[in-house]
Amino acid sequence: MMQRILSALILTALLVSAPSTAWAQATAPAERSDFWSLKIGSPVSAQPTDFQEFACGTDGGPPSTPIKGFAAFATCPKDASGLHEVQFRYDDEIEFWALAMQIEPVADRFAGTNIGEFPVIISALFDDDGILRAARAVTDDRTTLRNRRSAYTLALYIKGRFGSDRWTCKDLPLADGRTPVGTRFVKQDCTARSDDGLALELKARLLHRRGQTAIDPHTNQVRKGGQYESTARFEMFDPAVKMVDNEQD
Amino acid sequence: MSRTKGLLVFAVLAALAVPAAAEDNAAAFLAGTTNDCPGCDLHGARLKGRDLSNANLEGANLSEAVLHRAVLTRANLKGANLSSSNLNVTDLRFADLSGANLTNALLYQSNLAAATLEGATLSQARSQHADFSRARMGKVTWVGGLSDEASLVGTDLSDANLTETRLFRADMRKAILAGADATRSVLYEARLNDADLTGIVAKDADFRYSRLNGAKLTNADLTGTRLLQAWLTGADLTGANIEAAHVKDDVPPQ
Repeated sequence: MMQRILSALILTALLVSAPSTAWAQATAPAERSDFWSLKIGSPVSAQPTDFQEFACGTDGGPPSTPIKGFAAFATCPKDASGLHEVQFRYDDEIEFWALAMQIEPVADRFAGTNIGEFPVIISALFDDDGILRAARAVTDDRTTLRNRRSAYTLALYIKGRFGSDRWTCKDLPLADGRTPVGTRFVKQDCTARSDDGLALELKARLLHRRGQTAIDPHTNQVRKGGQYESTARFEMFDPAVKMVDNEQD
Repeated sequence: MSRTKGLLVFAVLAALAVPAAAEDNAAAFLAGTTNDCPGCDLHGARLKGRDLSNANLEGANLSEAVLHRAVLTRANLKGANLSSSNLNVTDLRFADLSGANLTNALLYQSNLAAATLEGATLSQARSQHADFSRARMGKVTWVGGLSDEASLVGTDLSDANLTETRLFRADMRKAILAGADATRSVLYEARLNDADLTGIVAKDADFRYSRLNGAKLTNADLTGTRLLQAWLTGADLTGANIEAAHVKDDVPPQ
C-alpha cells in the first residue's frame, strides 16, 4: 500500500512539475482504469474505455477468441450462469512511459494486470442486454514462483478492502488425495455483501492436488517449479444472478 | 483588368481552400475513416494501438502524439515531426522515417527492424530495448540518446552522429559505424563482433567490457577511448591510434 501511495505521489509530482521544468518527453496519464473501475449494473457504454486485449473469457482461465471490446460481448458464448464473459487486461501506457523515463516505482506500480500487486486474470460478465452483472478476478499462474507461492494471500487483501469483519468464511476439509504444502493448507470459501449491495464470493486455496508432490518419488529430489495449487478467486456480482461454481474439488 | 481581378479572387479562394482541405483530411484521419494524412497537423493526437500499417503520413506533424502500441509497419513517415511523441512498443518494421524528427521521442521496446531512418534526428530519444536490427540509419543525428540493451544487429549507422549516446549492452554485431562520430558515447558491454568501425571517432567513448572481436577499427580515432577488458581478438586496428586509448581503468567515470 505504501508503495502504491509513493508511486502515485511520484507520478503526480512528475506530471505537475512537467510544464515548469519544460519536460522534453511526452507525459503520461496520471491514472488508469482497473478492476474496481467496473460498474456492475451499468451497460457497456458506462464501462471504462481504456482496457486492452479483449477476448472471450474461460472462467478465469486463458483467453479464448479475441474481440474488439466490451461492445462485442455477445460474441462470447454464455457460461453456466447465462452470462457472457469478456476477459481483458489493464492499459500499459503509464508502465512503459515510466520504463522509458527510468522511474522504477511508477513502472512497478503500473506493471501488468494486478490487484494489490498480485497478478490476476480479470473478466467482466454481461447479460444478454449488455448490462454488466459480475466481475471476476483469478490469480494468474503465469508469474514468478515467489508470486505464485503467495497468490492465495490475495484473499487477505480483498477481505481487507471490504472490511475483514464483513465476511462469513468456511474452512473446508482436505478432499481425498489432497495434501498440505509443507505444513500449510488453505481451503477457505468466504461470502459477503458490499456497501452497495453486491454479492461477494472469495476462495483461497493452498494445497497439493493428486500427483503433486514437493519431492519427486522417482528421484527423491526436490521438485522445482512449484507443484501445488496456490490461488485466490474473487467474484462480485448482482445478487439477482445465480453464479455457478465450476470448481472440481 | 476584370480578368486580373478574377485571377486574384481565384488565387485567394484557392489559398483558403488548401488549409481547409488539410483540416478535413486531419479530421477524417482522427475519426479513423482514412489512414493517410500526409502533411497533416496531428500535434498531440492520441493514436494509441491504432493500426496504421502502410499509412502515408509523410511530412505530418505528430509532435507529442501518443502512438503507444500502434502498428506502423511499412508506414511512410518521411520527414514527419515525431518530436516528443510516445512511440513505446510500436511496430515500425520496414517503415520509412528518413529525415524524420524524433527528438525526445519515447521508443521503449519499439520494433524498428529494417526501417529506414536515413538522415533522421533521434537526439535525446529514449529507445531502451528497441529493435533497430538491419535498419538503415546512415547520417542519423543521435546525440544524447538512451538506447540501453537495444538490438542494432547489422544496422547501418555510417556517418552517424552518436555523440554522448548511451548504448549500454547494445547488441551491435555486424553493425556499420564507418565514419560515425561516437565521441563520449557509452558502449559499455556492447557486442560489436564483426562490426565495421572504420574511421570512427570515438574520443573519450566508453567501450569497457565490449566485444570487438573481428571488428574493423581501421583508422579509428581512439583518443581517450576506454577499452578496459574490451575483447579485441581478430580486430583490425590498422591506422587506429590505439596508443591514445585507455586500456586500464585509469580515468574517472564520466
